[in-house]
Amino acid sequence: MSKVLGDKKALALFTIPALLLFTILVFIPIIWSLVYTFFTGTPGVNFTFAGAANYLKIFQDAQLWTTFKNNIIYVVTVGGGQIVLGFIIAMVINFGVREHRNLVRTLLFIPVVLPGVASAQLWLKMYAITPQYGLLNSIFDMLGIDNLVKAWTGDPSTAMAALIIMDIWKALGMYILIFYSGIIDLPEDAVEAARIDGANVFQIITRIQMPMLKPIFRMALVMCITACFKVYDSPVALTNGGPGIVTTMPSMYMYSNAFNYSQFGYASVIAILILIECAIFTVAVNKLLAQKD
Amino acid sequence: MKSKKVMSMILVAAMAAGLVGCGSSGSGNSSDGASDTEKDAPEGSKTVSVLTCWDENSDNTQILVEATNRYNETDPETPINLQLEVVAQDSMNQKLSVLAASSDLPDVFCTGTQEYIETYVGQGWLKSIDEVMDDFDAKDALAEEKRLALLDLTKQDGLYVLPCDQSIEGIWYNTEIFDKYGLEVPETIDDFMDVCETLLENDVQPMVCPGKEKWPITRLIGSYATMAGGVEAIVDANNGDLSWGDDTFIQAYSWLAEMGGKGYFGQGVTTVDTNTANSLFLSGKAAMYYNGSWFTSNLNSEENQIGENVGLFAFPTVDGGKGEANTFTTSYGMYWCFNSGAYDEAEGAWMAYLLQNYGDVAMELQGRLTAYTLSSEPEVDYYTNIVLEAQEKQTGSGVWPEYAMVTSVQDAEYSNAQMLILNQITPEAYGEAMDAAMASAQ
Repeated sequence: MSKVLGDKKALALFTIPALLLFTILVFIPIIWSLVYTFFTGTPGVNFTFAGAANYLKIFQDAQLWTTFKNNIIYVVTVGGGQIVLGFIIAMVINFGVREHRNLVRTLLFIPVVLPGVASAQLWLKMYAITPQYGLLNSIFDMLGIDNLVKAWTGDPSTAMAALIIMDIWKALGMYILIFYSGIIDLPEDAVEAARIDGANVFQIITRIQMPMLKPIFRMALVMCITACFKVYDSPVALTNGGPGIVTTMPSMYMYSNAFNYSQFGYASVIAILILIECAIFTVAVNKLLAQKD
Repeated sequence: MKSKKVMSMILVAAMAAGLVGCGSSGSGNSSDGASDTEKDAPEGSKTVSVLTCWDENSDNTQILVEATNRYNETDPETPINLQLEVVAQDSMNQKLSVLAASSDLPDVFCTGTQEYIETYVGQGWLKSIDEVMDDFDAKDALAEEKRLALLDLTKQDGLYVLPCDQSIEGIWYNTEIFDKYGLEVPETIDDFMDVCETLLENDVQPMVCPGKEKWPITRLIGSYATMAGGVEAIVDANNGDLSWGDDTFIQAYSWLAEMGGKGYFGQGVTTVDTNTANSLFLSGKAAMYYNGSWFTSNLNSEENQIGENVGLFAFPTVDGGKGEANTFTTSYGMYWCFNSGAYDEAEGAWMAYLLQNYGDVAMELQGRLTAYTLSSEPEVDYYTNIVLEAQEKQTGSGVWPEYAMVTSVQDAEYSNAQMLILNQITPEAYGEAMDAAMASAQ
C-alpha cells in the first residue's frame, strides 16, 4: 500500500478520472450557478445583468423564508426519525431477532427501492378521505375516533406530518442497514468486558457501542440530512407543496422560480443557499463527531 | 467476515436502489407523458415537430392529427408529417423554458401561459397568424370579434396563436337531484346558498370542486367577483387599476370561505383532483360542479352514470352587483403557437387549412366548440346542445382572474385560495397577499 501511495503516477492514474468527473459535474455547475445569480431572466431569451439585485431580493421574499422554515421542520423530524429509528431498529434486529433476520431486513428495505412517486401514490390512497376513506381514515372511523378522520394531506395542520411519516417510512430501511452493518462489526470483547464489569444493556449501548459507532453516525447523519435539505420529489408527489405553501420546500420554490417564473438568476441564489446550508451542516457534524486519535 | 457480508449486502442494496432510481427517472420521463410519435412520412413531406400536452388520440392533439390527415388527403404540394412529443400539462412550462433557453423550440407547441406568448412574440419567435390569413386568403376562418378577444387575452397587437377551444364556464347540475328535492335553478347567490343548504340537509354533497388543482377555486372567486363588480373588475385588477382587496373581491373571498366553512364542497376539498371531482359528479354523488363546456367530452364518456340528467346554468347574480344575469366566463383554452423559424410556404398552406377546417373537425370528432367559423350547421350531441342553448342566452362574457397574471402572482393566488377555502386565512389577508404579489412582480 505504501508503495502505491508513494507512486505519484499511480496516484494520478486513480484520482484524475474521478477529479475530472467531479469538476465537470459538480464544481463547474456550481460556479456557473454562482455567475447566474447576478442575472435576471432566462438564459438565451432575456438574460440581463442585475448586479446584487437577486441577493437583495431574498431579504424581501417572505415566501422563501417560509419554505426554509418548512425545510428545517422537515430536516429535524425526518432526519431525526430516520437516524434514531434506524439505530433503534438495527439494535433490535441484532439483539432481539434470532430467526429470519434476513427476511426482516429485506422487508424493512423494500420501501427504499420503491420509486418516490409510487410511494406517494400509495400513501395518498392511505390518507384519502374522498371519494372514500383510505386505510388510515377507515381505521379511525372503525374505532370511532371521528376527530382523527380528516383530509391528512389537504389540511394545513396535518399535511407536513403526513409527508414526514411517509418519508421516514420510505428511507428508514437504508439507515437500518447502515447501522446494522456497523453494529455487527463492533468488537465483541469490549461488550463482554463491560458486561463482566456489571454494565447493564442501556450502559453498554450508550457508553460502549454508540461511541464506537461514531463514524457510522457521522456518515448516516450527513447522508440523511443533506438529502432532507434537498428534498423535492416526495412533497411534489404527495401534496405539491400544499395546501397553500405549508409543505413547499426551497428546492420546489427554486424550481418554480426557474421554470415557471423564468427567473433563473434568483433560482440560482436559492440553489446557492441550499448548498451553503448543506455545507454548514456537514462541517458542523464532522466537527461534533470527530474521532479523537 | 460478518461485516464483509453485510457491507456487500449494503452495496448490493445501494446498487439496487440506484438502478431503481435510474429506472424510475426513466419511467419518470414516461410518467411525465413524454413520448415521441413518429408517423410514416408521406413522400416529399415536410416534418413538423409538435410539442403537446395531450396524447395523439385525445383532446386537441387528436383534432390536429385528424385535420392534418385530411389536409394530406387533399393532395397538397407538400404533405405534412407530424412528429409529436407529449408532455404533461404541468410540465409544459418547464419544457418550454428549457427549449427556449437552448433556442430549440419545436415547430408547433401548445401553451396557455400569456407571459410566454408575450416573451416569444417579443423575441420574434412566433409566426403571425394574421400574415398567414392574409397570404392564404383565410381571414374568414375567425370572426373579427373573436380575433379581437384573442388579442385582448394574449395582450398583443396582432394574432400569434390558434385557439384550441371556445369555452364557456358555468355550473353543471344534476337535474335528477334537483327534481328530487324540489329545487329550482338558482338565479341569485342567496337562492344558490339556499339550494346548497337544502342539499346538505339531505346528505347530498352540494358542490364538487377539484381544490387540489387550485385553479378551480379561483374560478369560483372570479365568477362571484364578476357578478359583484362587473366584467371590468377582474380586468382592472389585472391591470393594476383595482386592488385585489377592493370590496368587490372581499365579498367574493368571503363567499368562498363561507362555502368551504359550511361544508358545501364536501370533505377534503383540497385533496380532490379533477378525476375525483369528475367521478363524484358523474356518479351522482355531488349535485353541482363548476366547469367549462369542455366537460361535454366527459359527459359523452362511459364514466357518465347520470346520463342526460344534467343541465348548465350561469353563475348566479349578486344582490346589488354590477354583473348581468347569464354572464359566462369565456375562454379559448390553450393555444397552438407556430415557430417563425420553421415557417415556409408549405407550412403556411397547412396552417391556412387548419384555420378553415379545425372547427369542423373538432365538432365532428368530439362535439367540441371552437372559435373557428364552421362550414355548416353542426349536428351536435345532447350535451353540446345544452352548451349552445346556454350560449344563446348569454348576455355577457367574463374573464378568469389570472387571465393576464404573471405566473408568480398566479401561484400566490392559487396557494392562498386553498387556504381561503379552508378558512385558514381571512378574506382581507387574501386580498393583501394578492396585492403584495402584484407589487412584487412589477
